Amino acid sequence: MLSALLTVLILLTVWCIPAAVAETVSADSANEEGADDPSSSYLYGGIACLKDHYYFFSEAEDRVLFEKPVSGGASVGLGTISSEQLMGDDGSGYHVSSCFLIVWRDQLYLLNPYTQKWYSLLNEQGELEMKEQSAQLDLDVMMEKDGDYSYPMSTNARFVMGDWLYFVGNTYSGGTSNTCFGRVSLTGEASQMFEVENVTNACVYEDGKLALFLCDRSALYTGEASVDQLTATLAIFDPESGTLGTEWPVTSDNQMGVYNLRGFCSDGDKVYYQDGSRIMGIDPKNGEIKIAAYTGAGMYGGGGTTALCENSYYVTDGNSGLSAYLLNSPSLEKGALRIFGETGSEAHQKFVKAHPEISVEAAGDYASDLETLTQAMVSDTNTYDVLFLSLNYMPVDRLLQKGYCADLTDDEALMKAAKSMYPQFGEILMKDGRLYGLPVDANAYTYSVNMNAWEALGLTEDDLPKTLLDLMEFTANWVYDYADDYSEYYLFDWLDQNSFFSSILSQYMTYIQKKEGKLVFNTPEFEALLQAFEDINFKELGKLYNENESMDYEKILFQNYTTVLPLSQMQYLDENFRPLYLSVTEDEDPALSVTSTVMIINPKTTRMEEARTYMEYYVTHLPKDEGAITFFQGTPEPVESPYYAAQKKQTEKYLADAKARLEKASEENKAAIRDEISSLEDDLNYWEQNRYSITAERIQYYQQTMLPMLYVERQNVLYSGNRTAMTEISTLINQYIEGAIPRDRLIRELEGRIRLMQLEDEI
Amino acid sequence: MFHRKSVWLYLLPGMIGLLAFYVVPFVWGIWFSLTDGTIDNRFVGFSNYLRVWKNPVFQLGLKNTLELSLLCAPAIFLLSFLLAGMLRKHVAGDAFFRNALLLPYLMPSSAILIIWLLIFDYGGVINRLLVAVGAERVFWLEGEMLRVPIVLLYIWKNLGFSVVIFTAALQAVPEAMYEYASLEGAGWLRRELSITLPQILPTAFLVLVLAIVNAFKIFKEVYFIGGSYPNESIYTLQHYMNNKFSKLDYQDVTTAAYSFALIVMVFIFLLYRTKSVRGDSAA
Repeated sequence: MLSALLTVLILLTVWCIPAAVAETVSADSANEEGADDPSSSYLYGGIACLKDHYYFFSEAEDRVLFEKPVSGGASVGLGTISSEQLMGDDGSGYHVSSCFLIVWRDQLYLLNPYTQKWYSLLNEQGELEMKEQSAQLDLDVMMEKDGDYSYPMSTNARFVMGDWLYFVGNTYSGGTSNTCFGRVSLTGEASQMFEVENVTNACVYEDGKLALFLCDRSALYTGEASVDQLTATLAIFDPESGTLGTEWPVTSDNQMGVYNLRGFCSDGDKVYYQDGSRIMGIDPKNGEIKIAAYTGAGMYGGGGTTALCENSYYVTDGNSGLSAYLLNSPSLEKGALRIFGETGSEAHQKFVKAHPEISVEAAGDYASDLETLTQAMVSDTNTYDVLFLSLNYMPVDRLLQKGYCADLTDDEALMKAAKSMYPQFGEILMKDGRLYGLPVDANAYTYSVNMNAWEALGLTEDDLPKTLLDLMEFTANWVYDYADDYSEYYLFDWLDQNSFFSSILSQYMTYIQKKEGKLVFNTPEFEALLQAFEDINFKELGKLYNENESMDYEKILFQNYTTVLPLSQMQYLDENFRPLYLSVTEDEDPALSVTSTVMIINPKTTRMEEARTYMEYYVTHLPKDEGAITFFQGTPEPVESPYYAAQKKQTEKYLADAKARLEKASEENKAAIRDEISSLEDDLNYWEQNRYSITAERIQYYQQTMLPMLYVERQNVLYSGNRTAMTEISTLINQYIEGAIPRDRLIRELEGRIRLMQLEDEI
Repeated sequence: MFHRKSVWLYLLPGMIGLLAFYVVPFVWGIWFSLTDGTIDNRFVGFSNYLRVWKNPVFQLGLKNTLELSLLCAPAIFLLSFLLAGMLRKHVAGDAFFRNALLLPYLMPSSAILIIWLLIFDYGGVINRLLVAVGAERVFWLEGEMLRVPIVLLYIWKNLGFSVVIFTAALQAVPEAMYEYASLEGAGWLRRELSITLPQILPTAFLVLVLAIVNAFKIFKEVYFIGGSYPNESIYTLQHYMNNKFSKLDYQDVTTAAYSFALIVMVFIFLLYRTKSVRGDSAA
């Protein structure tokens, strides 16, 4: 009996000790490196590198300090840093996201600019052991002052060199945005601000010098220049003597120009930075700029501000967590698959991870005119291999007509994908049975009505407007029928005469194109719409809106633009609002206008295999909550919200923490903790109720109600890209709205122009 | 000493320019009109010409261009001849009138247009005059009536240049011939028909050709008033080419342009032929 008891005790001990230890580390932290590794989530506080390990805090495991080997491998949690451990002198605790990590004299530190306290984090064994440092740092220079209130300024760069912490911060004093560049001594209460102007980023270079990125952004804030017109330079700076070396121009062909360049770091030879989906290297000795690596990010880059150059790798934090890119790899000579119009979507990021053997570059420019696109597609350098084009905004049909879309009919995977889509999507770029491209996203908007407010007016479901004319008639009568008795209600969330007309025009165009296959304005329907528009007194309606008052959301009757596609966006529809699909006439069914992006391959690409691999992967890995359910036939499963699991876990953790505190709390604090617990329980209920971003009911609603109404918009003759013609039409419409020309003249002129436009294009 | 080789050396820069900016683009344009305009730019023969000629908007543009030209060109020719005849004699103020006639030619069309639009506006001067004489106002800037201000604007603007040419030609006719004819008993009409016209025939022919060629190119004024897609009554061939160019339909642009050039060349050729025949028969 005794030996059995002893055996059980030993087993329990062996079992419990690791469990006890595991309480202080994340259960997920021992995972092999993969999508679930904490380093793949959003990191806050930057990344620090010490003795062949990276250190960071991850959104995936709140407040846990992680280390990850530089050579690769899973992240390991070293322990949690609680808010109480980061307490300020006023007794308030701080979350680690308020702090940032630095490495100084072979030790890892955590600095809290709010409290101006700092802590060493590791003991000699490399375990988490937090110790507050006695030396006072003058972190006040890194604070933004706003009257009596101060908060840490946002920083573009923070790094340590020697015994100084350098920073490049953004200030917003006096209503203008400025940058500042300075340093804080880590050995005592000293700080220094440098007089160098327009420093927007910086990093350590070599021999006690820094590399500074200089960009005068003042013209941007005064409206004198746009982002792509800014200029920038790079120069070496000696902080001790204050001398600035030769300034070398830094350029970018990204449509954001030099404004979006970020993440500067150096290996002592070159200075590296992110430019869209590329890592560029500039030689400060001669100003030569070369591509150093491809990141696979979208055209605006992968986010992130921290950058380290470690062992020939460029390491950064960004949207995908910690990422490391080999610099100056020999494979750079092969170039990369160049993609136009990719902004860093989920499918793209998945492809980059799944196919590391294919370098991809998201082109930074985004021209939408036919000439620029076609020239780029036949160019010998910087040609686009794969293009994402907006079907209604860009000349896709013309490109197809002129043979600029590769024939993909012989690609089994793509044909299979096309045939498994709903016909209105799968056949978007099919011509004579041949496939030239596929859709990758779809967006749709419509009016929505607040049923609570509607019923409060004494109206029923039967009174709801069924046509556009009904809505316009209701709008016209609002001032006389309801405004006085229901003055607290707002007819629309916003009301602007020009925008209202644009909305009416768009809906009419969708209707007539679906019905007739072309634009016609000389119709009784259009005349009736114009008549109804003229009956609305926008001046009187405008008086009901007070710009200085914020609207009570629950008192708004109609919303102008409610997103109904992608389906996951419908979850943001307030439960009181429901979509209102209006037809133009009573005889016709409503038409829901859908704008879509399509993907094509350049027939002149020299990377056809890679391009097809990319397209096949992309189309078959569309996010479920966006394209996958929208496009593909079948009965898909409901889609769980991407935030559900993490938010639920976090809330449960906070709840357990609060309950534990409740037991130990004094009587006077218990009420506040009980309120906190109640709020957390409400949060849990909320997440349970909103577990699915797309429920089974919503999928059914889409298939049965929305799908028959869908009309995929293409670029029509009215918006054909002939800018002069479009300006003339805009002028005409403005003249009508302002009352300078009568209704019949507008119809005549529009009809005349459209007829000529359509006849010109007849083959 | 005159060397043949040095002649070519002096001509070379000009010829290079001519080749680069005229001959090569001309030939290249012909090639464009014979290809399909796709990414591979395949040769398709005359199918572009067949397609463009069948296009109703091309036909409309061609018809309007011919009509406007046939209105404007003779009007300019006759009016400029009459005005030149009046200004032939040196009278007080003739220099002022000559300059005044030339002034519209020198002014930019966009500046004149604003004034023209004001004059022909529904509440403008012309309509006020009409009302004053008991007539009804007219929508000059809409529909078919838009041709009237455009033709008048074109004539008013381009008249001066032709007047100057005619005046110079008329003043070059020896006065002694008129004196001799008068002494012989020839009347005014006889003198004009037998002396003036034969003497100024080459100049008159030049003015006619210029008037026709320029009238065929009528576009600026129409574009400023009507835009890229004006009323059908003033939609010209230039509009068609302009709009096609903006859509990068280079094949259609070149096809239309060469078709039009061919028509004008045939027309001019016929004029020259007529002149030659008449010249021979006169001889």
